[in-house]
Formats: sequence, C-alpha cells, structure tokens
Amino acid sequence: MKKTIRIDPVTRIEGHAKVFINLNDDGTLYNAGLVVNELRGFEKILIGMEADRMPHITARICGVCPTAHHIAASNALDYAAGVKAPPAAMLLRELMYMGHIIHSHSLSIFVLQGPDLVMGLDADPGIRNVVGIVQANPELARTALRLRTIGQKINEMVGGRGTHPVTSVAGGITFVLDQEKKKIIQDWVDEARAMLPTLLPAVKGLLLNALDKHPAMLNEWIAPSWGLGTVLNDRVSLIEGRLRAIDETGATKIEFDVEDYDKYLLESVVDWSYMKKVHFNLDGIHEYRVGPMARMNAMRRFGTEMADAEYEEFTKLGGTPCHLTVFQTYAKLVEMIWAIERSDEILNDSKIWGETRVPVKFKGGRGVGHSEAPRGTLIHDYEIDENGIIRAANLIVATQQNYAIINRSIEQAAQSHVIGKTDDSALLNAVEFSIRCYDPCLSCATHAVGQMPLEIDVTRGGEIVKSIRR
Amino acid sequence: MSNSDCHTIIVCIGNELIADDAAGFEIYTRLQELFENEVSERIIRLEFCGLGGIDIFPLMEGETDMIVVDAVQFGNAPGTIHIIPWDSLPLAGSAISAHGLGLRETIEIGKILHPEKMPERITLVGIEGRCFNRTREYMTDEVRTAIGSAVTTIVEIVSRGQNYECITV
Repeated sequence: MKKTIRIDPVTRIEGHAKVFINLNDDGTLYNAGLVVNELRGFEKILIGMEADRMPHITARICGVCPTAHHIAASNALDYAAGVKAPPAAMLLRELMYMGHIIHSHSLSIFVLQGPDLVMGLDADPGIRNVVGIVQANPELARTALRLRTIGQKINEMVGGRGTHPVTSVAGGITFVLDQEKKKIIQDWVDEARAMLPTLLPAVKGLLLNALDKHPAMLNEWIAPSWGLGTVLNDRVSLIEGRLRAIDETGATKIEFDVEDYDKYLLESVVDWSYMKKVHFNLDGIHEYRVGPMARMNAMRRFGTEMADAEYEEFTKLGGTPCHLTVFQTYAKLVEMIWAIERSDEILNDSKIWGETRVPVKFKGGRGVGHSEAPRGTLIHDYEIDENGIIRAANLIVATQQNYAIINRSIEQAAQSHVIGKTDDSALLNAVEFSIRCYDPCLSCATHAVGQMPLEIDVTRGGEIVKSIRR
Repeated sequence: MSNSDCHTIIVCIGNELIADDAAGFEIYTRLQELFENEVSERIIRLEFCGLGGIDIFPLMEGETDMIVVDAVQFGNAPGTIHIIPWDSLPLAGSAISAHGLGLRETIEIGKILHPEKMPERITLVGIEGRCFNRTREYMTDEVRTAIGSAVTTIVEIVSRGQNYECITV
C-alpha cells in the first residue's frame, strides 16, 4: 500500500466521520471505508434507569430520527410487559410516525442531498448547500421546507414535541385525539398531498439530470446485496410486523419476529472504527441493506394508490429488486408519498377513537422492539429486572447494518470519480454523495457553532505529500 | 390576537438530559416564571427547541426581535456568556451537517423565502459549555453558575429592546 487519501470530516451527514481511500503502489484501489470516530455509549448510559423512561430517554440519541427510537422503545416495553397496545394507540403511534417520515425524508432529500441534485456534483462547494438551493430554486425550496414543517407539526401534535416526542409509553400513548385536532391534522395532510404534483416531477427530474451528467452512477454504482425490512399484511410497515429478509435476487429467504433478531443479525467490530458492522447470518454470512429501498425491494407494495403507482415507475427505471445506490433518494420519495396517503387513511380509520392505554407491569425479563427508522430497521433490546430497572441494553441502528454496503459504495465512487482523476473537488463531492445516498445517521448530541473544514490528506510512506482543504 | 402581534420571540435550545447542553432548557424554565405575564399577554413568545438550526425556521411569525439561547463551544472558558448579533455569527457554509445548520444560514434562508416573517433584530445568547457527552448531573459548575447571569442578561436585552454589541461577559 503506497498512498492513503482521507476525507475528514464527511459533511451533510448526521454526526462526524471521515473516509480513507488506500491505493496500491500501481495506483489501483486497495480498500476504502468510513471511519466513525464518535462514541456516545448510550447503551451504557441506560443501565440503572427505570425502564418506563426508555421512550423518553432514547429519543435523545438522535435529533433527526428521535421518533424512531421513541417508538422502538415503546414496542420493546410492550413486549417486556407482555401487553399489546390497543388498536387506537397503534394507529396514533403510526400517525406520529408518518409525520416523522414526511419530516425526515424531506430533510434528507431536500437539505442533505438536495444541494448535490440542484447545484450538481461539480458545483462550487461554497454554493452547494441548502442556501444555494434556496437561491437557485426558491419555489422548490419553499414547498420542500413547508412539507418538512408539516411532517414536524404532525409529529409534534401527536408526539407532544416536534423533535423529541414524549407521548408514546409502555402500553399505549398519552395523546388523545379530538375532532378539533383531527381537522388540523387533516388540513396539513391535504396540504401535503396537494404539493405532490409539483414536488414529485421536480425531484425526479433533478435525479435523472444528475444521472445524465454522471453515467457511472447508473452503470457502476450498483451494490447487489441482501435486504431487510418490516412486513405487515404483505406490504411495507414501519412500526409493527415481522422482519423479512431477501437475497440479491429479491427472493424471500426468511421472515422472523424481532425478538429473534440475534439468531440472524451478526454484530462484529473493526479495529479502525467505533461503529460495529452487522451481517446477515443465514446459510453463510451476507452483507445486507436496510432503509426505504430495502423495504421496497422486500415488500414491493404499500397498499395506497399513488405510492404503488410511483413504485411501478421506480421499477421501470431501477429494476426489481433495485441495487442502484443513487436510487435510494427516489425510494425515499416514494415512501414519502405513502406516508402522506397513509396519514390520511389513519385519520379516517374509525378504530382511532378507541382506548389508548392498557396498564403495564414489568415482571422481569427481556424487552425487544423495533421500528423502521427513516434510514432502516432499528432494534431496541433491554434486560429489565423485576423492579423495572434496565440491567442491559443493546441497540442496533440502521447505519450499522448498511455499513458494509456503504464501504462498498465508497470503493465504487473512488473507482469511478477519484482514481486517476486530478480534480480534487470532484473527488470530495463524489465520495461524499455516495455516502449521503445512505443518509447515515451517526447522531449528534451537541450543536457546536463554527466551521468544520473538510480535509483530505494524501500520504506516502506515512508522510503527508498533499493536503486538500475545503 | 395572533402570535405575530408579539414583539419578541425567545427560543431556548438544548437537551435537558445532557450536562452543559441542558443550559438552554434550564434558562427556558426560569424564563417561563419570569415572563409569565408577558407570555400570557402575548407580548413575548417563549419557545423551547430540542435542536437549533432549521427547526427554528417555522417558529418565526413576524416578531420584531428574536433572542436565541443555546449552549455553545466557541473555545472560551466554560460559563462565558456571549451576546452576539446574528450577522456576526460564523457562517457554517457547506461543511457542516444539516443537523448543525447554523442560525445564520437559517435566517438567510428565511430572508429569501419568507422575509415578512423574519425578525428585524436577532441576538444569540450563548453559554459556553464544556461537557456535552455526559448526563444532566454532570453539568459543570461554571455553566450552572452562569445560568442566573444569562437569565439576567436576557431580561436586560428584552427591556432595552435592541442595540447590543457583540459582547463576551
């Protein structure tokens, strides 16, 4: 190995990470990867806390997907207490969650990936940001940010707080719907639905335009892998159901309940990153993908008119199953359509007016629950003693499960856009974009204000021979 | 009366479960008591946000003044109180995550998209923190002590209305 290229930090992802690209003496790729150098230790922080605080506490793990943790923790506590939340509570949890999906996918598509799509990968990084989008296309930006706000408002009304919801609890939910609140939410959902005829073609157009300019993304950024997602009534589901695993061809390999996750999901450590990798352990060890595209590949049906129609369009361009890294943006768009339609269905389901809580008591034992976070399957596993105190915790998050595929995508981006190229900015942009397609969430607790420079060091024989700084 | 009749919006930001990051929440709870009348008379609007940046975008409804209260890391001694007008804030640019999208970028976006909702004056009251990776009971003594001073500072800013220079207390 002769040369190392490092990108530090990677920008517009949640959290802090850097990238290394190691080259052989002849300039060919040796390996590449994402190094996560954060360690927050939440699993240890939880030990000794009261179990019923878990939905409240674990929501703080991340500022972008708090509702995913909030619901996964609630499901885990339901399991531990041996209860099932009443149908009305499950519908209200799901309504909160659909608001969260609308909010999170809007952020991901328009704020995190939008600058790459609107400004182009070759644009000056100084303008390739969300302020640049607003200046370049204010009408799209206004609509997109309004959609994000609507999602957040639904999440806030049902969840009690926009960013860190508090209403879902063991045995149900403390939020009570009334006709006034229903009308407010219905108006938001109607407004969101009315935006789709504008937003949908605009985002698809931007994505296809980016592919025209960078055909390698279509021809070379292909990462066949297994996939995992949650299924209920043979359609995509986000807060309840069984887990379905598919292979590279899309064939279902197994369906299992989440409490059996440790039979199939194999965690392992690497010596160059704090993040643990997860592989699927069934008839051998397999890399697998989670998230919107994995869910679509596994279930192929949402059960609502517009989302299913758009999924058909998706398959015409991306195939079935789809393994195109950049199409994960398109998958988020389809899922966002479904979240809007599903919100409408939930609001008008008569079962939403029933009881919302059942009493719970922890007798001691294990509590396992999950949700399909915006970025993929999220599992909470607690050991709870007979006094209701957490004695052990294990959390498996989406980005861990995508880690192997992310590293493969970095290698593909390095091959197509870095090796043999002299344009430093193209190098930075392409590799970062490949990572952002997975929308990795490394989670930040702090919000320091200040500049975070982007830097690549090229080293030879252990000495830095070139530095690229943004 | 609508929210836009309020003259001042105070947005406190932070994580009430994390050491020095809880400063914004602690100040929020004290301001709730201090400004109880002003809030009920809708002279002041008081909001708490788990995150800053783009999450405060939908909160602005045409108030003339906005005060943002948050724990910061500018490299000063813990407990230092910064009073900074928004146009003196560092610009984060593209090299920062959307999670960390800065106050300044948020205001710039707002001025383009919804100028009628943007405040005329925006002031950041930043409390320099040191511990952001432990739970609430580990809040540093310096930050705990500074909370009272920060509350006093905010009351003074509200009473004077404007014309604050970039200050470090």
